[in-house]
Amino acid sequence: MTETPTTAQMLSTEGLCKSFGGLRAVHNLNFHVDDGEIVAIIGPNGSGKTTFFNLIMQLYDVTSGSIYLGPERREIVGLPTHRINALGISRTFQTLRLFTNLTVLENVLVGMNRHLSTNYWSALVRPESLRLEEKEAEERALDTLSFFGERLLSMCNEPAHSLSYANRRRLEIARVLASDPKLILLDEPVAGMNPTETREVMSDIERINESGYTVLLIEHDMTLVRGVAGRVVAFDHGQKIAEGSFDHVCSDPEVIEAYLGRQSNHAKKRPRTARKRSRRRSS
Amino acid sequence: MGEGKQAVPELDFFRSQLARSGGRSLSERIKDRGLLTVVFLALFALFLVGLAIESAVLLVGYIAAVAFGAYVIGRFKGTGERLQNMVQADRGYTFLLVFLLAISYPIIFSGDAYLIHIATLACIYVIMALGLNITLGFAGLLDVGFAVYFAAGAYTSAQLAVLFDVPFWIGLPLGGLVAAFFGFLIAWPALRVQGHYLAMVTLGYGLIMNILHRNLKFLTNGTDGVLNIPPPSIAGFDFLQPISIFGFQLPFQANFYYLSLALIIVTIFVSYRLQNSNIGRCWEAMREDDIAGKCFGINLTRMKLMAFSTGAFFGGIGGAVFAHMIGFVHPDNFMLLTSITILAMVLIGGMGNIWGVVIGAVLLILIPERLREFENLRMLLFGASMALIMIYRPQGLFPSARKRRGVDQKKMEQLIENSGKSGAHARPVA
Repeated sequence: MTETPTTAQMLSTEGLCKSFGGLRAVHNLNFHVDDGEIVAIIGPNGSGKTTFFNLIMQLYDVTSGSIYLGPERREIVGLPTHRINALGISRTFQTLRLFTNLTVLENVLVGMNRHLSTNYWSALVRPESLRLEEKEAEERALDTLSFFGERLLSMCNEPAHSLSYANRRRLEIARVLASDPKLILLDEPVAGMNPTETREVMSDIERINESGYTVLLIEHDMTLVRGVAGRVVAFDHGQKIAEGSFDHVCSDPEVIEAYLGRQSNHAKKRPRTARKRSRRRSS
Repeated sequence: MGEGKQAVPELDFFRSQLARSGGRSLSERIKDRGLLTVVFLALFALFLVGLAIESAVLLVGYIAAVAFGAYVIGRFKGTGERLQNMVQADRGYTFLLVFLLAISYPIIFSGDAYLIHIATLACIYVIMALGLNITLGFAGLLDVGFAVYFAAGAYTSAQLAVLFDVPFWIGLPLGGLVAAFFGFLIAWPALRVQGHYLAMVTLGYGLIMNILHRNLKFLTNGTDGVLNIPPPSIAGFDFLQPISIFGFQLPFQANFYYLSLALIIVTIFVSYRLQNSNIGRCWEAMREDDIAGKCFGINLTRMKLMAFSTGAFFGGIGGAVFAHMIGFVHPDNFMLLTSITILAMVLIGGMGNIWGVVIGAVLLILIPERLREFENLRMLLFGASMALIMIYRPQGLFPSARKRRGVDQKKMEQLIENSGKSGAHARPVA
């Protein structure tokens, strides 16, 4: 990557590879997100999108390549996951990973963890500064919950497992907002939601972006991708196959091939089953 | 993070709701306190009557009757919850009440040194069970080798006193610190494994350490044990002297009783502070979902080490008091059975619930002690009661309050419904 970026880069990768045994989940990926952008990653199932997120959070060990954070291009490969969060990247999970027995408010407070002190002795002594910090944190947590109107607020003392599905997804986002990161990773934020809820999430994501957060999201729902993403990146077999505006990417022959398979009757490259599956997906 | 959201008028309402139970009138509070006092006195009386029963057969009948009574009362909806709310609303008063009752115990039984002795033993186990409660109840790390820390504390302070004449008051914290070190020692490698595997590692640790207790003669005197451990003393007052206040005499066992009572208070204080801090919240989050925890900045290694070491520290404190009270330390005191007993106290009492664990520990020491006639059946009864509790009350006798709140399904559904309805109108504008 020798080109000079026009705006400050929030995240960039160079030659990023991850293989599980013989499977190349992510292969030689050069990718970047600029400061303040909303970037959507699309691609058929198994194309390495979520693996890419896990690599950014260092939940998986990177096989080779680099990931840089921020305009100062700080290398984050090899750091422990909690340090990545401390540096300012937070993510949601495709399969919800809330702290189900903690209350809604506590979930958000855990999200705030990177701003709170976890000093053992001060927890025992509870000096005035810690009390103040806790009070402020609670206020801020309520503020964050109010991002979603009263949907989460009215449940703030209830355990997270008592939330409806859509509210759980909202709480995942609230928890990310609470950590006040530089870069937000959303892994399929509208999976399993109905069209009305999808539209709400779209406006939520736009509001998040307007507040100054950079958003990188994975999504299969093309309405959402078309609606919010400033730039779309298509993945297949762990590689970037297309990049650009939504319309540009959608008309890209390689992307169509990845989703629908080749039109020729003598399709050789792609096994039948894979073609069937991708057809169902793209509907 | 102040940008991007607009004022919500209902916010103040929710905030005031959050500041729980602020505005109760004075007469209500007095009434509640009176009721609390009566309830706790009644419970204490039940406990004393149980202790005073000499015959084992009668005692079994008595326990069955009390359990049945508790079950019947529990059938009335909301009884337990109301009591819990009352305690929650007036925690300081409840604590004072329990404290006074605990202080009065040796005075009531001033004629029976044996009863004070076993109560002290129970107190020592309460300290240790509260320690394990930090590791297991708060952080969810299953430690089946807790006797290691018990032993570490006991041997450290015993040998320091016997070989180097170190006073108990220095040996006690040192015993705790050495035990914490032993917790650290196993936690470091064991952090790679989780759940059942962690249990296996700590189980093995307990067994190996017990073999070492028997064989490292230069440290532990092997199977001869450490003998003639001097009792603690404060300013010339030896703990083997009876206490006499205004001509009223308490047997010397009361010294150890009050000592361990004071240590229990310290342990509860530490548990409470940790549980209600960001550390406690991180422990809980880590227990619920470690990957999500990592992604939100929780340093799992650090938190797990903290949990292990703190728990082990209190194990060591219990051990040090034990050594100086009994005056004799032997490897047989620290076998697998001890670890399992402490584990059972936490499980039966209710993981994560400080008061539940206290009650669990007291019951598990006093009941077997009073049922000596059935000594041969002890393990059988122990196993049977564990099995029954796991079937009927898998969360323990006194489950953690938060979990219980989650069970109230009707309210939950109603709230969800309401929030859905009002949410449709109060849609934020993009």
